[in-house]
Amino acid sequence: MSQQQSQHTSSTRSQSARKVNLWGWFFTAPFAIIFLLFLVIPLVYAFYVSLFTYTQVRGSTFTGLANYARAFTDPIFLAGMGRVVLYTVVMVPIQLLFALLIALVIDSVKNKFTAFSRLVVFLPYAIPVVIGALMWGFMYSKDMGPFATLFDLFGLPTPGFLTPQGIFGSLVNVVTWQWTGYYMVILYSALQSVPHELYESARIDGASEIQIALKIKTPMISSSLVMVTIFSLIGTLQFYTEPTVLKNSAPSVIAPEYTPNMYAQALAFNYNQLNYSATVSFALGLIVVIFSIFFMRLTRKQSGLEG
Amino acid sequence: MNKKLPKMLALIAAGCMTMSVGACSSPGAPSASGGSQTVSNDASANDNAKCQNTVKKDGVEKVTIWAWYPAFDKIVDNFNDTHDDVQLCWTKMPDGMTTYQKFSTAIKAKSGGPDIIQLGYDAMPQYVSGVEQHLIDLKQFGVEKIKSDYTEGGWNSVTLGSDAVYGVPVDAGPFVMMYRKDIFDKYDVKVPTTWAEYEQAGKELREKGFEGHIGNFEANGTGWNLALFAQKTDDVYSYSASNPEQVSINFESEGVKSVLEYWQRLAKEDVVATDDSFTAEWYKKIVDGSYASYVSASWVTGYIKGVSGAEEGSVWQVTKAPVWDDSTPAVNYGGSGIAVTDQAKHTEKAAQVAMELFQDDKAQEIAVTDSGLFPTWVKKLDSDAFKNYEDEFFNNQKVNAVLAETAQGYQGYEYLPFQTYAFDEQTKAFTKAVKDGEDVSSTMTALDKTLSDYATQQGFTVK
Repeated sequence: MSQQQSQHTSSTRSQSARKVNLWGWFFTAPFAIIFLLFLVIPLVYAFYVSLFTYTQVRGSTFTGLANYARAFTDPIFLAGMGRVVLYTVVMVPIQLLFALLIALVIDSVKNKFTAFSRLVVFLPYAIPVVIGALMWGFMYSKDMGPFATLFDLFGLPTPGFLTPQGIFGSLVNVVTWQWTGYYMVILYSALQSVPHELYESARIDGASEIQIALKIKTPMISSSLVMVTIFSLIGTLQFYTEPTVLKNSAPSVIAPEYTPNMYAQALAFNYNQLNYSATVSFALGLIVVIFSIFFMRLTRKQSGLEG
Repeated sequence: MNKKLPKMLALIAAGCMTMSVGACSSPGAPSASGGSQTVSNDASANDNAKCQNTVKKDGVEKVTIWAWYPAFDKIVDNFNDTHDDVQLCWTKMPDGMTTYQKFSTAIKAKSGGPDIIQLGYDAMPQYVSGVEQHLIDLKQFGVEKIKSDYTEGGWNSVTLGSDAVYGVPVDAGPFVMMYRKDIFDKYDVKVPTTWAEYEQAGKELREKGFEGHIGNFEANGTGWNLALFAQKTDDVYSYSASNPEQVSINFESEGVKSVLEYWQRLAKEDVVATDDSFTAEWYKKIVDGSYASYVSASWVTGYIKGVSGAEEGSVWQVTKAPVWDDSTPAVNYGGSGIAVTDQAKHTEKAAQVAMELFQDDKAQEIAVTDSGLFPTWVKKLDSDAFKNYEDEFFNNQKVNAVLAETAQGYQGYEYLPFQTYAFDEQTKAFTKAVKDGEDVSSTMTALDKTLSDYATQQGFTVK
């Protein structure tokens, strides 16, 4: 209802509108309270905490934004940031391509195996992240894992999955394995909502199945693609669980500050630097927001969020 | 507005998701130095505490403790059976690291900590330095009268170079060589007594067809690495609780460098493995015959006794750790004591329990046979039962003859008040030097600088 209209309506109508408004607030309340309590308030508090500097000898003093100056010149934080950006650049496209490819194939091929393969691809997502990472940690083991047995069968040395050279690929593999199925399901359900008349007319015009997939289906689900990319982008910038779990198998390969989130954790709970940890977390949050805004602007047309 | 709202919420949510880690902290307030002055006197505060153990006697005051000693349940039960005025309420900890994290969090929250806590000697300084004063000086509760019951090394480990006594020492970690007699016999190689022989024996084993390594260098060994250095140089870290704003760090000594260069060479020539310690793989390799020997603290056996996949017919023996020359001192790796925290509900009672817990023949018996600890309690060390104890794991060898001699050399080491950070940096530097083969000298200079910078940033004077 537009404002101009409501100004002209009778008092009874505006009363009922107010009542509707009240009900609206009522239904939003459960979310709003949790949102305030567990997201907004901690956020504000963390920002407040990040304005203090703690040292073991002198305790806490108010230093304003000095911690932020330290964070953005902290080589450890920057190195961690660089690492997750690299992961983002490599991992996000791989996940998306696989997810899109599988979604398109499953959407096109309709037989009794479709539902089954959909389930199989989705299954890794149903495994808790920590369990998945533990499992891969075991499989990657140089002496105990199945790969060791497999390579031994052919008389080959086991590749160094958990070495400084191999760890990047190993982590990309774990994350891709876990999340591709989830993104695939989102893209697949978006494909279901595309009207089939489009395909029929395309076929009449002589388009091949591959042309239909690339020229019709993919553009039609572009808003879902953008959403999935943002999920993947935010998830990767906050990379934490998988390297933390694999660290137990390779403590000297994955440093405690491997990713910014791990650095924040180590600062807070191992090095007793809660204030600086809050700063690092906040700085990371800021960077994630900037990345997201940048990406949303870039894909304004496709996302459907702005007209 | 309506159009932009969902996007804004999405962005706020994105920002929030990253906040979970740093969101629960508070700017701490400075407190007095020289040990915590907080003495409390509330005997009923722990009445509803949740315990791992079944408390034997109802209606009696409880004292809470956090500890990760193996078989500690038996020690707790023993204490509760023999005490009518107080009962111990134990919360099991998985390891030292987790304990320190939980305790540090409880300190920030100003509640939730235990009355008594097990702390590795290397972890104590961080709780009695600068503004962080969270351990009670037990002198006010008469701890001096049990001083003579403990070894000098043990006692020095809990005084932290000051007049105060911040805990009761429990165990030490004599640094010895555990080796597989069957492997050395099979390949007819002499068990090394010096590091030169160790290198030679490693090569010989390989030449004669042994597929494993003579031993392992663990870059993430923390105190293990320090023990290796202690064979050749003074403490790399110095800190005294009587001068709580000053530290000193020295990785640039010739001793440290020559030790690392030795291991760098052995790693390069594949004489030793370079596996990280306390991983599943490491446990397995110790017991499955991948290492012919293991140079470490005696308490390591407590952790490998139950590991599955042990090789059939293993014959373990223990002997003195290899030395550089006749002047090499006996060294120590690890060990821990129990301390009373500033969150103790009834401080005097907690202090009494801490002092009595291991002052007991039965408790010491359990600690030695079940937990695999090496005691610091002189009465136990001097007992015939201890001297003649035949360890099943070591093929009924009278291990304490070797261990006790090594343990005598230990006078206590000093650790930094930010030792966790220092250990993490150590791991990175040793990985570079030994595993990646980078220049030892420049790596150690860089490590020295990193730690000194951190100390300065934290407000310490670096001597």
